[in-house]
Amino acid sequence: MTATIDPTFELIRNVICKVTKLPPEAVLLENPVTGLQNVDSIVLLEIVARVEVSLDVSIDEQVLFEIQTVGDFVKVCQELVAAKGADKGASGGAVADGAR
Amino acid sequence: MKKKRLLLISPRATFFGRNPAHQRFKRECREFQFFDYTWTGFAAGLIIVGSLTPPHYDIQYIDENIEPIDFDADADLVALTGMTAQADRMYEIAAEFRARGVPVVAGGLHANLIPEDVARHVDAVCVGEAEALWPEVIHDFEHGQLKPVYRQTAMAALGEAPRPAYELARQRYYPSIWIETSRGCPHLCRFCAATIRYRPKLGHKPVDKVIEEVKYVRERWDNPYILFSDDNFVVDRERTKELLTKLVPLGIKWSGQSDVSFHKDEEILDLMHASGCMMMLIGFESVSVDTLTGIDERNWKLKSLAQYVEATKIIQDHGIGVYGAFTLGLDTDTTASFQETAEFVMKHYLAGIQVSCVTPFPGTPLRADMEREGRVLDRPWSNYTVFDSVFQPKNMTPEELEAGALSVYQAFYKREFSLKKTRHFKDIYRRLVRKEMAQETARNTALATTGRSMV
Repeated sequence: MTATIDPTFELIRNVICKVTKLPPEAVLLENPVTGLQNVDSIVLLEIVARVEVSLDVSIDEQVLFEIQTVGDFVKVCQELVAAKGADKGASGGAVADGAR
Repeated sequence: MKKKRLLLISPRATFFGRNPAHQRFKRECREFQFFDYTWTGFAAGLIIVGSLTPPHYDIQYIDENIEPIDFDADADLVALTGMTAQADRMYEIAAEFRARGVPVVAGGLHANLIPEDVARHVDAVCVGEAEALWPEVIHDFEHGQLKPVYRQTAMAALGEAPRPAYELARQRYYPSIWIETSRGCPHLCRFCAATIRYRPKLGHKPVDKVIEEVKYVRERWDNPYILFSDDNFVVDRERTKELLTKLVPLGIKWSGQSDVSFHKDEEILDLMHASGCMMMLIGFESVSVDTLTGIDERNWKLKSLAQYVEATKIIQDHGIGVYGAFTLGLDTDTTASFQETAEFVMKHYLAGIQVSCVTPFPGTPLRADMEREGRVLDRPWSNYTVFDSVFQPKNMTPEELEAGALSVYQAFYKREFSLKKTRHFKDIYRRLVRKEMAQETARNTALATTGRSMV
């Protein structure tokens, strides 16, 4: 049986892997975002910007500063996507964008 | 035949201010936590020495900031390096090994600045570039004829030097891997120790040699973040373009150091972003006309002052963070200079800052002036961190200088400003990501309709 991966997590993981060149298996929900290999503050902002553009959301900076783990990041994005009422359509297409 | 054992040792040191206020800030400020990540690397000089050592040596690289030194370990020869902040510890380490009968050789910045002082603590001092000296040191060591001082007589040919032995540092965690593509800087700033002592003329490694080194490093570290440790990465524009073009397909992330002059070259900026440049440390030194006057021989930095704002904006709009380096406490600076510097770095949203206290390193013209005026304080070398005040400034107390320099950090890394800065950079990156996606869509459309990819 294949485990289902949350599409927002998949998109974020794809973006992190694209930017940092980390293998997907190295990106886990419990990873601290500032502790990811090859991620400094500027790299982190590139990741955030790519995710925002792909999901067509904007993360408030105050909220961004509270994010500790990849899981927190996924949760914030899920809430924003849900709030704009485009969860279904946006995430499916966005995965491909983020992976490019 | 038993291999000879060479220990290459980088002594421990504090790489931010040793004073309690700096230490507290470093410990407690969350926004500042990337400092060590961005600027911690191995002792590049020792890695070069390793590459110049014959194969019948068993070499061990020891970074005392990461691992302890076993003074009773089997060793035939010890090579030490260090900046001035590491000198006190360098002397202690040398004493330990020499007491055990192991000869000690010293090189690096501090040994180049005051070789006579260092010579009192070690068996041999190397004054100059390792490539030009180390083979002779090894030869003399093997014949029991180490000389007290080795002085370079001709500049090392970087193109002919072997690849640095990066593998020696491989088992340790270094946030960034330092690769040198050139050595030297055309600006001779009065307070700068490195360019005065190491190399009066710029020297380059051939571009293909640099690319081979990047590939070598990439094969040995997982996705290395590379810091091109050149004093000034962008001096020869055409060479820089060739290097950047060849870096693009390697898909690395990197940072470097330079002056602001490259901001007018759109092609270099685009190539920098495309090749993975995340940040450039730029030596602004000061935002004061008075301070910049005469700071370098040609007044180049003064002439660049008017371009700082435009340069910062243009460079950062290309997705390259500007990490501004400022040196405070020169004779024209007053206690108002700290606020002026803080206002500049915040108004123009610099990605990062290094705010140091002017430091009269031994051997520099600045030191000579200050000694003549009786202004050098009696401080140990370990305080020469560039974040601790070691001289009597003209218009403030040493304590005011330390606190003032720290106040710029405190303002810059305050949560409220960090939030604004984050928004600023996020906007830049969003624009760049959209542009990149649009270009990719155009390429894919062209491919789908014509079967040919756009160039």
